[in-house]
Amino acid sequence: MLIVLQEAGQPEPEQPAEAPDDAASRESEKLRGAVKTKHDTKKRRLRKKLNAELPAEGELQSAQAQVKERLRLSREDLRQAGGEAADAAAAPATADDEAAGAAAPSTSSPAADAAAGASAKSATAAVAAAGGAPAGKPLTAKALRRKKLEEEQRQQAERLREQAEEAQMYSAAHAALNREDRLTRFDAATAQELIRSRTERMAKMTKMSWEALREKKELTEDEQVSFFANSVWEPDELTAADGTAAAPAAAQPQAGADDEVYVYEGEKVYLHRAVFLAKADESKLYYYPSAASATPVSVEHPVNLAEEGLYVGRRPRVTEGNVLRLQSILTMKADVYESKKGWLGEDGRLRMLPDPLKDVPMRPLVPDDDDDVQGVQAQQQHQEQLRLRQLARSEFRPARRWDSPFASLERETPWQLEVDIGGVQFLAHPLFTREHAAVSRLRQLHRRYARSEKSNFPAYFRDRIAALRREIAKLTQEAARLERSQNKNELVLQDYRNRVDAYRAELSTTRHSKIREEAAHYSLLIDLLNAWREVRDIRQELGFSVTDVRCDIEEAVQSRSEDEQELLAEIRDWTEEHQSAVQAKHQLVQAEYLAQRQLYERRRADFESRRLAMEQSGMATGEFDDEPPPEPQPENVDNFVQQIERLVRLGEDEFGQVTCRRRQPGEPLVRVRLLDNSHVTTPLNDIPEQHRAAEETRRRRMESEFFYTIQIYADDKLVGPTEDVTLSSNFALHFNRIYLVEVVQPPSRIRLQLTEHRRGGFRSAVRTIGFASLPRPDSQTTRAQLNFSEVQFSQTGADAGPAEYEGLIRSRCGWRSDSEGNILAPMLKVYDPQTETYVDPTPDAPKLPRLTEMRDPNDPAFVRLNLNAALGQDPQQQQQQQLTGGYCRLNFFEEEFGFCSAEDLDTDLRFRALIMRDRGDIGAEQLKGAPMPAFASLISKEMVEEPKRETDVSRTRASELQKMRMRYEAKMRYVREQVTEAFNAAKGYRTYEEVIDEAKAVVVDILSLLRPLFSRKRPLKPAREIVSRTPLLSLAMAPITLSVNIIDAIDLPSPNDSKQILKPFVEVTFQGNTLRTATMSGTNPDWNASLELPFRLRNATQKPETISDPLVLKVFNDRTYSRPAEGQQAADVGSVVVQEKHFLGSVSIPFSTVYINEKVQGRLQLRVPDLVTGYGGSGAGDGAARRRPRAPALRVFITLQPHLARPGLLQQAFDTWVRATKNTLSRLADEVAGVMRQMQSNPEAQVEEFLYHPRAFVVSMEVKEVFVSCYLSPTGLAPPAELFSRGQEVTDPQHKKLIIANYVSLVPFVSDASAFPGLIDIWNTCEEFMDYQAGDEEEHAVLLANYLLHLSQGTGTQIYLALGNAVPEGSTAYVVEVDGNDKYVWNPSLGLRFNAMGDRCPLISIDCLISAGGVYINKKPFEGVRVLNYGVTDQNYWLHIEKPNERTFECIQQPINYSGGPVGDSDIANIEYEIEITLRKAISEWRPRIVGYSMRVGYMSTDEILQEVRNTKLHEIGMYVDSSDAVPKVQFSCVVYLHKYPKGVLSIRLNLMALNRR
Amino acid sequence: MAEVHVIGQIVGASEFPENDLFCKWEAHFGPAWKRLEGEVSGQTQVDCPASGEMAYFAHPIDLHFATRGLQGWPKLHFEVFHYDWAGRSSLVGYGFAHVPSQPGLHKIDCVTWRPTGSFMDEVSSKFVGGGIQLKRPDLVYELHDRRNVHSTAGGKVHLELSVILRNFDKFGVEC
Repeated sequence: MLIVLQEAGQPEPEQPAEAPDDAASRESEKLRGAVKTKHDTKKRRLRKKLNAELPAEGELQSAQAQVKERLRLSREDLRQAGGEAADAAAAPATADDEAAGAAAPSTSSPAADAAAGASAKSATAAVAAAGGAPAGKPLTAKALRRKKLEEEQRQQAERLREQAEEAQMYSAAHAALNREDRLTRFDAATAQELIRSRTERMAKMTKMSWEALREKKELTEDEQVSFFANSVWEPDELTAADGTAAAPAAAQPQAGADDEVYVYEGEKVYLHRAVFLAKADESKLYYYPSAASATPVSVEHPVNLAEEGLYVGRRPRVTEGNVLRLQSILTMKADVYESKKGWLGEDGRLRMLPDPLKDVPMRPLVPDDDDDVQGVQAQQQHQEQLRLRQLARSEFRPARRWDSPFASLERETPWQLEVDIGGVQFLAHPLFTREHAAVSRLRQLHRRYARSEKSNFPAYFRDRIAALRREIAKLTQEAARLERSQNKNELVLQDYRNRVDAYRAELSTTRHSKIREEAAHYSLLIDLLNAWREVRDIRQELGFSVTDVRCDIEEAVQSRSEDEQELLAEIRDWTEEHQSAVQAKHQLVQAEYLAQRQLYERRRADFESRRLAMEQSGMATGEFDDEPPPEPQPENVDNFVQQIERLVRLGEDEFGQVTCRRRQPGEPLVRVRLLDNSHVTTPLNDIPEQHRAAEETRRRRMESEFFYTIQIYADDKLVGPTEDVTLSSNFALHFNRIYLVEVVQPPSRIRLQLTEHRRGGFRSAVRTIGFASLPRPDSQTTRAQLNFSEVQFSQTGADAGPAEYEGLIRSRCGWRSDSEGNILAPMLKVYDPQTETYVDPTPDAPKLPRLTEMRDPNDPAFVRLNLNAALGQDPQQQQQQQLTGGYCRLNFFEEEFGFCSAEDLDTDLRFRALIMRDRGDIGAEQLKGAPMPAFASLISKEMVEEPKRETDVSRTRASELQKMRMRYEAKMRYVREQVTEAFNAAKGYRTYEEVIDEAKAVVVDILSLLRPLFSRKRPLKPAREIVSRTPLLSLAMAPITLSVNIIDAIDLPSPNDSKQILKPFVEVTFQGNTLRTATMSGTNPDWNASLELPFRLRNATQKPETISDPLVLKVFNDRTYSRPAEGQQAADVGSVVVQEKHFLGSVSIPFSTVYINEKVQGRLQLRVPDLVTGYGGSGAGDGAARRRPRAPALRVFITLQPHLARPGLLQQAFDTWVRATKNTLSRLADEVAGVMRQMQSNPEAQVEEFLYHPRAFVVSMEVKEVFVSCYLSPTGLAPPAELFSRGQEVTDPQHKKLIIANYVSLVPFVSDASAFPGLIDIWNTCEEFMDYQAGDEEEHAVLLANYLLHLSQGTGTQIYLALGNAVPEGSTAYVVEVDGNDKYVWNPSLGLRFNAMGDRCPLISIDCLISAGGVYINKKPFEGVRVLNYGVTDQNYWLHIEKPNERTFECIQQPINYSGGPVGDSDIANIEYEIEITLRKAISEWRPRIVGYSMRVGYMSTDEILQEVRNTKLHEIGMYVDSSDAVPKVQFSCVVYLHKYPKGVLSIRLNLMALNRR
Repeated sequence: MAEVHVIGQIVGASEFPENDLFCKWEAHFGPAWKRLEGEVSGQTQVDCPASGEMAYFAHPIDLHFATRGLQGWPKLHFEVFHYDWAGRSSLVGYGFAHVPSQPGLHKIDCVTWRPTGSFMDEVSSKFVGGGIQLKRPDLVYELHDRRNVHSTAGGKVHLELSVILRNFDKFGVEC
């Protein structure tokens, strides 16, 4: 093409070059004539050429028209030129004409040749050429105009023009490609041509220009870069690069201005041509695709893909006209689109992707109820409105209706489910005796046995083996026959053989499994018999039976020889089968071997022949070194036969292990049946042993006390409990009832919850002991269609031991069918995968196609079904499964929408710290006053750690006892947490009075105004000053001291050495500070000392009530004596003075007592060692005589300076909260509150001592409120009999009481109130107390009171539990014993008895007395213990609140089981050893002495014992010698004795001795 | 792990038929949100304006959330009550407003509505006081069933909320 253009362009510049030459030389007239003639000749020539050379086709019409137009234009030019008398004007016109004339023919023919017969192409080529050629025209015009002015520049201009023409041509092509809008004005074919020309030209230009540039050698670097960077050169760049061409190019627009051809660079070619075209017959030039039906593009064999079952999808909707237009284009320009055959599919239609849009919205609109109303009758409308109004006032239905898998849920009557509860069979129960447990095991075994029996597997296996053998024989025969026959088919034969092999393998496995199955059955039988034997043994051992199960064992005697024969037959058969299998295999192998052998022989023969040839030709030869294939040996079956024999006879496997032992030959055939209700149960009266009978009676009583209920839950909603059912004799519960459950929304499951409660105890003793879950029946299942299913449950006890309860619940659940047989179940909706919703099933709705009906597996609508098919499931069934939630829908709450995971949020340190700060767990001191850091990295991990619970030091080597304590602590911690929660809730609770401060109405009290007038001017008795109380807030600031006033002591033990005078002093220790009084003398010293001990809080936030440091008061004898000095300094001194402190007694007061009671005032009995050697006795008297008649006591007054506000509000708040929220026992509570009010209205009652409000209700271990009287059993609890039978039988009741008190006091004292000292006591029952071996004063008191109640039964002694104030405990619980005129007070935690009227009585006041019958509230607590003198019947002193005779107020005490305990004998020895070793080590550490003590303590932990011993300061003996030389020659002796009482109560006796050698 | 602080106040309530008002409020947010600090619900005092139509509460709101997603952006739900001379409180408006997602100070007027009962209900509430209430106030912000409620417009609750966002840009959320 390029060449063509050059050819066309080459003659063109020459023509005008000649013409001006002529014009210059001749006259203007001549010139005009010449031009005319020349013009005429040219015209003629052109016409001739057109006629002669142009092809006659219609496609060339445009080219002709163009040429004609050009002719017309040149004529006009001529006329113009003539008119203006511009001589030169003719020349361009001529040149133009010439160029046009030359261009059209010259280009058309080569193009036509090149196109090789493609006529359309030649036409376009012609057009393109025609477009290219006229580009010269404006240039020519310009050049001529210039030439007219400057002739000498013409030559140069021509050259330039030639170059510029090329550039324009290129740029035109380029622009045509760039501007698609313009391109559209040309047909695509032109564009094709242009593209081609452009690429060619570009290649050339690039090369050329590059060479030109290189020649220039003066390119700047930038230019070079841009040259390389712009692989496509812009037209203006081109012209700029040409340099000289720039000027004419720039001038072109002016040239175009007077022409109607609007030309500018780059596009002029096209526009220029376009104008020509516009003036030509455009309608013919352009191709308009027709909307009329055009001939469709023919495809050889159009197919209907959909009919062939291929998925074509839904085509997007395209209008018919557009489709036809497109087809028209493709048809007309078929040659252009030859390569685009892919536009059309096999079906002859345009290829289109399936419509990506769903034709239904994802969530179909819910039809509005309101709209439905319209158009219905007025009556209905009215009703609808009523309904709507009702709805507006009530709760609305949730709007998520369309997602429910059930259709038509709205119904007047709800759907009805029937839950049929058959019964419960317990497999384990706390009331099981050994026999019961054995029977339960027996039953379970029998159940399995019966199942195995029922399946009748021997017959099954026998039949199967026979069938297999038969089949094998038949096939073998058949194969043999086939082999013999003439025309044997190898394939069929092979198939027979394969089948025989398969059968043989199966036969072998069947035989194995037969043996295994028989062995399993046999072992089951053995187990069953063993279990039965166990039951029988237990019955025999006990002498009676509590269960009525009997085993019926049938023995069918089998003859041994028959069995043997059977066995032999089995072995023979098996061996036979194996042999035949081996033979068959061997034959195969043999055949293969033969084939291989043949091959080998042939190869060998080959080799031999070759070797022979080589040897003959004199070449070296080798040996044939291939080994012949090994000949297969027939497998030896003897070994196998032995194995079989062992297996069949003895059940041994190949390793000699007995794995499947079966019935031996000759053994009788045993069948076992269990017979219930066989009346083997021994009546109670016949039970031989007395205690067994009692126990059994008790057990049976308890059995009858337990009631069982099954709560039915439908989706966690309680739909009804069953009635109470008691245990039947064989621990089964028979419900046998059908419960109707009406549901609106079908529940996803039905849950049964088995609960147990006791008739005797509180309702609170309800326990859930098992669960069973029933699946929701599908909508076609009625109850009757279902069988009972048994669900096993098990419930473990408190400690993770074996299951406490275990059993099977028999139940079933189905829909109900009404009288007409309609199932009252909602229909399941049909899931429509296309809309992803559930639609109501309509009878005429097309069902989802089954897999077989489906056309195309690629159709997305069937993807789910296909998946199901791939999984091998029925699509329908699978679809139902999907209804339960398997369908997929975009969940906007999915994790991937989140920034991070939920864990990230939870674990972020900063967030945790913020939350803790919000809760108040992190205060200013953790943050050190700084604001919360803004980044998690700045927060230390320690800060956000939860407050640690105190770790158990002893966890490392926890004995059973310690484990028990840990359990107790864990339980108490739980209770405390519960209480703390209650407290926190209580904090938020405000009574009306607290919130509203109502000003009282001003009542002018005239009397009070007048009183000063009458009062004494000089009061003789100074008015009492009220001590102001410091609020807790300022606690951290002000220094607080603990003021201890030690007034006097009485009855201190006197030294045995009568020459010595007792010189006692008191040491007070608190928080590590020790102060002492002066030394006084005598056994009743009078110190009157006031000691001030500083009081520290560990940190600012610590609450004073949580300080656990005790205040310890110790009384010592200051013994100073002189003795001759020893050692080298003896000569100087003569004698040394030895000062020793001898411990006489101590008393320890918890700080919280001081804090809560504000003060401790009174006489404290000192806790003295049982034996203080050298004191209080008559010297070498016997042990009993040394007992001091009166215990020493110390009179003190302890208080805090300044006074701290009591935390009393919390208690009240808690009480109020409990009353307000729990509202438990409202009537009684009201009564109690009335008494309280009554007392508070009594001004005398508001004495300071009245601190311990009579609490009629206490909190039990289950965090429930319990009336206190319920803790006392009317008959008391029996103390362990063992206590009274040690050595000789104790008969004296007083002695018994002392023993019991001692026993009770030895139970370790653990304050459960340390979290809320004095505020909340958790009251354990005695059983819990003894089980956990821990409790504080209430527990001790309750236990003691119960014991004493038991002992004083029948006597006239009355026992009360007394709540009151004591020294030093503060508010506490004591036991009061009223025996006629004698009134005693028992300190339960010390085990001491005081005379109530004596001066030592620690009980200061009594708030209430509690008996099993009710509470006696003391109306005059300030009267102290004296109120006891007035009997509880005295209405003036006591207010009686009777215990209501209701079930909820029954006694909650359970009898204590003394048998067993966590402490074994080995433990005792261990503890003893541990204590002894520790003491020895400790004392040797502390320091060496001579005084000895014998102490008796309860066992809590070794630490406490150490503390006790340390308090005696035994270790300091011999230390205070005023001479440095005194090497203390002290030896210590330490003996520990541990005694074990029932229930693991331990008594420890310590004997400590320090021997100081003088 | 972006954070949102909502600090502001319930300024007051206006355009209610009565002036003596108090307002209960509660913040609701989606499961992806976690409250770090601040109360999510509360009740203002009763304001009985002596003059003017608007009741002022100036009740503080100070919330701090951490979130792991944009779903469930917190919204505030209000129940405005009228406290009448007899000491009874009757409902005059339910409403809710989204916490703005643009950081900065926002003044929000939350329009309210109250359910209307039958003619007799209206008459009785006109003379006797009181009126019907929703059994489940979550209907106010759970928009499923609102269409079934006959309601009438109440007044406005005025809020001033400052919203501070943190770390949202880390997760490509431009605020």
